[in-house]
Amino acid sequence: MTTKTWRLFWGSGPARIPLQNGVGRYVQQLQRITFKFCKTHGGSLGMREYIEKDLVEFARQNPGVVVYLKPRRHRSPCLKAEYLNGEDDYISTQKHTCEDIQKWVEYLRCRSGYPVEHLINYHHTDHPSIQGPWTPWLHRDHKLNVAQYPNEELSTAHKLEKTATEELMELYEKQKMLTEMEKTS
Amino acid sequence: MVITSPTLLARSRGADKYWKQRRILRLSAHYYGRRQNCYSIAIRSVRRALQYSTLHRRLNKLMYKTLWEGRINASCQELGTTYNDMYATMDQAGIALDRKILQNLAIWEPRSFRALALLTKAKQEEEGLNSLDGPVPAGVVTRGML
Repeated sequence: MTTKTWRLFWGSGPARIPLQNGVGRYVQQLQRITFKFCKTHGGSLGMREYIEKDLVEFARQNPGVVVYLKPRRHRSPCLKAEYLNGEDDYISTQKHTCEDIQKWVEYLRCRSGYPVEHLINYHHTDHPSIQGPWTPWLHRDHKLNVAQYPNEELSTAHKLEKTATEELMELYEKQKMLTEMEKTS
Repeated sequence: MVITSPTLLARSRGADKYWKQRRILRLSAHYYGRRQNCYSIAIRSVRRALQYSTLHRRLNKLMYKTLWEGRINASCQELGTTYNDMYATMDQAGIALDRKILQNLAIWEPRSFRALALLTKAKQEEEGLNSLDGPVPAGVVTRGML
């Protein structure tokens, strides 16, 4: 049985990061969010308060997210979020307070579009790493951190094999070292 | 007068089927449809499942071995060797770390893994791996031609 089948059946599986999001750069997965509310009905009071007070701030802090407002008469208020992988999420905010809606919007902002799953992990340790886990930049040269681009040195082609000249130089240096060691001993 | 013939007509018809079937149906509790509740249908699926589990005990080990080897190979290639060279050289150096531990080191203790990789790189030059220098391996007859 594959992990895919297990996930479909049980709705649970090991932790995963789709497309390695966050390993290098983090891309916010929320694409658009729709606030649907009624302008007069009491159940949309919290929603109207949120729109008046906190919506503009939210839109400024998340420039990658498209915000839609849908005032519809005689309809209960809701939040509809759509994600980059095509999935969407619906939350009814009928009779919610402004603070509740703030929290739900924050929840939708931080989600990936993948369905909510119970995480399975058969191992547990309080101290998984002492040196710190591997990152793609761990074994790379530190000068990359302070490099100014465009950079001629870093734009050169990668050398896959040693040239004959380099090998001869290395042999020469090895021989020199050996002769020196013989002399001292 | 005691009538003894009725006792001779008693027959032992076998063990209680209910408990035998219960043992099978307990294993099929998470199956789909009638396969979870009806014994004669469940027994077919359960037998197959048990056969798979016995056969795949061996496959499980092979699966993990290939996974660990792939991980160690990836970390080695970042550091300039390959898995085959590193593992052979560690054997010669007398470092008895298995694949499971090596892949854990590569992920969670990368500096230690790097130290091991660099050690094997230096050692394999000494041993003459992947080069014509170095000592001739034992059991190879060259007759002075190499």
